[in-house]
Amino acid sequence: MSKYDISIHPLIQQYLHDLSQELACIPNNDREQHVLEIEGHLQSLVEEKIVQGKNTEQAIDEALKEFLPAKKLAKQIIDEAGINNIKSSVSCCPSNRTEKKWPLFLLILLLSVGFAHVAFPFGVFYITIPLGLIIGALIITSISLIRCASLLNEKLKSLIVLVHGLPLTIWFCFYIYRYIGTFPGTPDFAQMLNYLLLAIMYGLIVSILISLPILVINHVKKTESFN
Amino acid sequence: MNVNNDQWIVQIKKGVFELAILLLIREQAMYGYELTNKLNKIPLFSLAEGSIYPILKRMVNKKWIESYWQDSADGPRRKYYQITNLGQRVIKHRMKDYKNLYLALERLEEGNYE
Repeated sequence: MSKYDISIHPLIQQYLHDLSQELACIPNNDREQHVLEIEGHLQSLVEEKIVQGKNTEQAIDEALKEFLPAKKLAKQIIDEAGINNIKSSVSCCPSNRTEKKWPLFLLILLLSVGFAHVAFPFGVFYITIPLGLIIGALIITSISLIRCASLLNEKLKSLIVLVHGLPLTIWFCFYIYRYIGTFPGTPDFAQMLNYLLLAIMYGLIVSILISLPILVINHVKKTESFN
Repeated sequence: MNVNNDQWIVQIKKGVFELAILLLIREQAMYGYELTNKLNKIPLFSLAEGSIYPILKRMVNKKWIESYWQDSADGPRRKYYQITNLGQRVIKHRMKDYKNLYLALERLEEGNYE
């Protein structure tokens, strides 16, 4: 009796594809071996069900229902793989990918940082621009360091939100308060535009400063995992 | 409290699966599907399909077992797992520990606290 090759069935293909995608953060050779091994297991399971009297579709359907979902299985395999064998513990595995919203979040965050930093020396305490820039640089460095640390330690991820959010909220409120106090009545649109342009430029510089160490860390981790 | 419904047995089983797998492949190498079938014949060790692979990976990482691929006459290529010398020693120690643990509990049950 010729056996049915399950690997051509779309549901099996989908499962194995999902599994492979979810295992994206372990080295290619390991990943291929896991997928092949699980394909073999599925093949045997389907054959067993066909011998029991099920037709091919029923057998495949049941086998997939009995099997752990691809995402869950991949997560368990990755957990056992250990952090040293993983290309990037944070970004490459779909299950671990909390960074999907990161670009938009980053943009808003960085513009807020820039805006707050511009507002800080101009509007809040009447301190000079150089002093404001030094304070800004220190804050950027701190945020970068904590952000880098959060790449290495999952528990710090929640902390980084607080670190970003709290001072910015306070500064922004101060800025609004100061702006209203300085320009009562008709708003000065030219002045507002100046603030906005400065904020965007500052935001771009901040984004480079914050992203650089993160990119370096990711690059180093990637290189280590392949060596 | 429902004594059958707590997580006690689940926790116990987690620690015993590795030992059960070592005992199964002690004499003869086996592949994942075969191991799952053998374990599922013992109700206490029943496993969802596929969930044996993370356990096997952990055991390979600990060097208790090793794997190799082999062609099969009646199906797909299979990845076999065989026990290592370290795995044999683990069986010896763990079985001794479990026996001692059981004996200690038995003594407590008999009221022998010394």
